[in-house]
Amino acid sequence: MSAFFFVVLAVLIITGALVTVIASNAVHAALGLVATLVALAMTYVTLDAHFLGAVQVIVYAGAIMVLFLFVIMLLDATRPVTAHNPVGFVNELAALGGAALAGALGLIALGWRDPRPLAEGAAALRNGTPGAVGETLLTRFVLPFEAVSVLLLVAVVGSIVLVKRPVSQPSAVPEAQPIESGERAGA
Amino acid sequence: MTPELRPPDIALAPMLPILIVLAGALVATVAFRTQRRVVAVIAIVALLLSGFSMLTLWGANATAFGGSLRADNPALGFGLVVIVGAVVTLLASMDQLPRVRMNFPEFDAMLLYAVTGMLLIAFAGDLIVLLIGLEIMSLAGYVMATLYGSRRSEESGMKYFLLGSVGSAILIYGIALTFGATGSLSLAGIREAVSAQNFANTPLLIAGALMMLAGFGFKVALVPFHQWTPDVYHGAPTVVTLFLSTVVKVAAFAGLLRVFGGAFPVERAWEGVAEVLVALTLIVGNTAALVQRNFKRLLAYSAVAHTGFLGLALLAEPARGGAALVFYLLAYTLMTAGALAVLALIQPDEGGVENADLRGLYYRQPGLALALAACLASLAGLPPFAGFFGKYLVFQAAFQAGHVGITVLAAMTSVVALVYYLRPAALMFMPAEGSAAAVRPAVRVGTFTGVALGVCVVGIVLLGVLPGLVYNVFDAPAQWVLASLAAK
Repeated sequence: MSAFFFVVLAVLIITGALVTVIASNAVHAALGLVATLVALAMTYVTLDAHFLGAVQVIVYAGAIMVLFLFVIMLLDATRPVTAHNPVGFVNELAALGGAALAGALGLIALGWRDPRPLAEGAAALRNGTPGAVGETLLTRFVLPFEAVSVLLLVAVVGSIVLVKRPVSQPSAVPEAQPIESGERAGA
Repeated sequence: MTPELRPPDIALAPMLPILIVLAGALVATVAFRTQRRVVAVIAIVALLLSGFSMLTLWGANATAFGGSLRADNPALGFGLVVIVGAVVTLLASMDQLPRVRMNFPEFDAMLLYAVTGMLLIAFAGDLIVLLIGLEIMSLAGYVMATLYGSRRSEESGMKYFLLGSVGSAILIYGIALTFGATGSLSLAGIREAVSAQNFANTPLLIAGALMMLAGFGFKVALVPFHQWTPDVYHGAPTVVTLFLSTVVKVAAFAGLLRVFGGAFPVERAWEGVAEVLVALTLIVGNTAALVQRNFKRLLAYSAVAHTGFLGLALLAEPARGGAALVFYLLAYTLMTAGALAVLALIQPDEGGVENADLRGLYYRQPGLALALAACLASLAGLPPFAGFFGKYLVFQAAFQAGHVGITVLAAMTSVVALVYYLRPAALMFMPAEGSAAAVRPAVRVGTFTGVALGVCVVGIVLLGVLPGLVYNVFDAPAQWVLASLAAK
């Protein structure tokens, strides 16, 4: 039964991903991504990782997709892209490479052996309660957990720096006369 | 539900170098109304303190967080090279940033954040920490490349961001596949799983390793993942180019060595692919540099070419290649930083100078011309400079590991390199009557830039004359073998 669910969900995930890549309309691509993310959340649920499934829906299918759609709306990017593609040959190459990679991974999957017994992982999940996730995050993965906060801080500071261009301070140094560059935009 | 809560293994002492830099970054972030010079001095002090704390950790082999963080000697070595490069960048930026109207403390903040990420990479004991460190470094790098408000700088930042993100995505895919094959994220755990008798998932592991190689390849500019390099290095402000082409490369190579030298010791199927990539890098980097007319772009291609030479150390046994890699990275950082610091001073705008405009530089600015000549000679690999010993050590390491063909190829391409480095160097000493460059006013060299150039030139001469000073410290093969620590 679970194999049946897996196949259905896998087909959904792959279809959504293909729509995301192939669709020429940004809104269609975003909706394809929603299908992928929701199907992935359902896959988590079938694996007894209920909390992860819920987080996946709330964060990815919810918050991040809303952001995507907002940006598409604000940039008025809903019209299909019709402009000439200067590197058109890349499509075929990418399709070929993707197919080769998918085939290779399929072959690899046939001979794959679970490095850790599945029962061990299932027991560690404790029926997919948040407790198991929280405990792992704050014990085994406490360093990455804290490091991610630095990453987010860099992202916030960096985007503010880029949006609100800082003004150069006047300098009392004698050799600090500005050099002329003809290519400075705006400023 | 929980019978007992196991407290996490937290030890802050091995983390101290990272925390000091992070604290400096936070200060620089908050102090955006302060004079930039003050913030830059604070940043330099933070970096020096961090370097000092690394020295106190030397030989202790300290680990924390259940092996997620390892302050062993290789990590400290890479960390110290990062610190040297970052300090030189800050020194060179002191006089340069006001000239290009980038005199704001946000530069120092982003630089220190980037260094935080780099130290995380160098100290990483598991792939997640490595990845997060790489992302912190890259994000800060994208912002720094875009800081100068010109079209070219924006293009440079955008290209760096798009291609860097693709690289990160491929790297994450590789990490996921490696986890699927070994069931472990920690480098020691992967090593144990791979070395086990009944390891069955070799094909998946190879797929993961190759994807990680491609992901890192983007960061270190291995051909064919190098296409962003010339545009980004040429378009970014020169001080940022200095930072990106030296320190970022040191950190990415630290990560590469950690993963490929530390975690995959037995399974070396990636080696053949890496050999081809390194060979391509050597050929493409050196021949493309040969036809460059712009000096800044030439240095960008020279950075690609040096990735090839550094890659040789990766192909060698980690016990030998590691020491050679650290030495070469230190030499490379000093000589590239020196060349770019001089370029930042003499260029008329952020687009760099044409090679032909270097003509007669010696008669206008003898000090700068001599410093640049020393750096170029070292980059070309001439004795008695550090570049010579760096090349010698990596050639030797690769040769002894049985990579004869590629060592010969590297030696041949370094002859090509001689041509494109020495052509601008020779031009500087030719009289420049009548050319437009002759009337360009000489620039004053500020105190801080002078110190930066002094550090670079004295460093490359000292390392070239007495290479044992650094090399012998790292030349104990045992310390390059990742200590197998129970980290599950």
